[in-house]
Amino acid sequence: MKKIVTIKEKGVYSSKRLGQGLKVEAYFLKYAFPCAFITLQRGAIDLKTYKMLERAAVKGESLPRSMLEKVFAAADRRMDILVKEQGYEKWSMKLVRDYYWKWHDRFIKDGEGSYGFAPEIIKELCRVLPGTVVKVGKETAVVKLKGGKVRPVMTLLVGALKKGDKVMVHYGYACEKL
Amino acid sequence: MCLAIPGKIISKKGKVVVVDYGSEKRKASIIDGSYKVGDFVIVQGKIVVDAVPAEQVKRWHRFLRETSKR
Repeated sequence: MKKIVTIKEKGVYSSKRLGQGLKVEAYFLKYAFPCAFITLQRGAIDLKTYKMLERAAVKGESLPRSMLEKVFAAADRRMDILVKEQGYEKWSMKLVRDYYWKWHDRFIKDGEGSYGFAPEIIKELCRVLPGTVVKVGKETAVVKLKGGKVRPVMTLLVGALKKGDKVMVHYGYACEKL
Repeated sequence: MCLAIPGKIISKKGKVVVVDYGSEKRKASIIDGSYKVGDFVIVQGKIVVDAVPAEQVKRWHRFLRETSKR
């Protein structure tokens, strides 16, 4: 990871307004929340904290940066690497977006940190991928992901979707409508 | 909330499955894909998100144990 690569602003990756008008903390939480169940399972956060994160993620509310950095310590550490090595500004929308849209996948592929000994299925679910909605249900959607796989997701973080919508997916959640 | 461990499908009625986590059992809905009793799955927000290959179930638990120590 030596060179800064600018994310293509057109096509499936385009987002009309970066972060959909959310504050950066709220935007980060939309992408980070889907892996909070692992943090809960590890015992690093309690159920009350998990519920609070879920509520804020669904409503698009901001939480204190200090709390987010502590709860999502691995994401924070990896974003700090990008600040240091790639010149991003800490807690900028661009950093959050580029981290989840691009760098996150590279950290997984590189086996950085705990990814080094994660089973394949966790690494697969953990990848943040764009996709197209092929079917919708109540608070759910079925998304055809880049690469061809199909993933059922919850739509609580993005609101109602319709067939053909482009979304970003992390674990079992659509995180952002593009 | 959802458990971040693979659970085993122990019964299936239409699109609703009961998933056994050892310590507890939970219901989940299948909105895509085909699953059968005995499959290990990961559930999020009450939907079955993906199957976990049997050989990766132990590795998943080990991953959680090892990252919990850090």
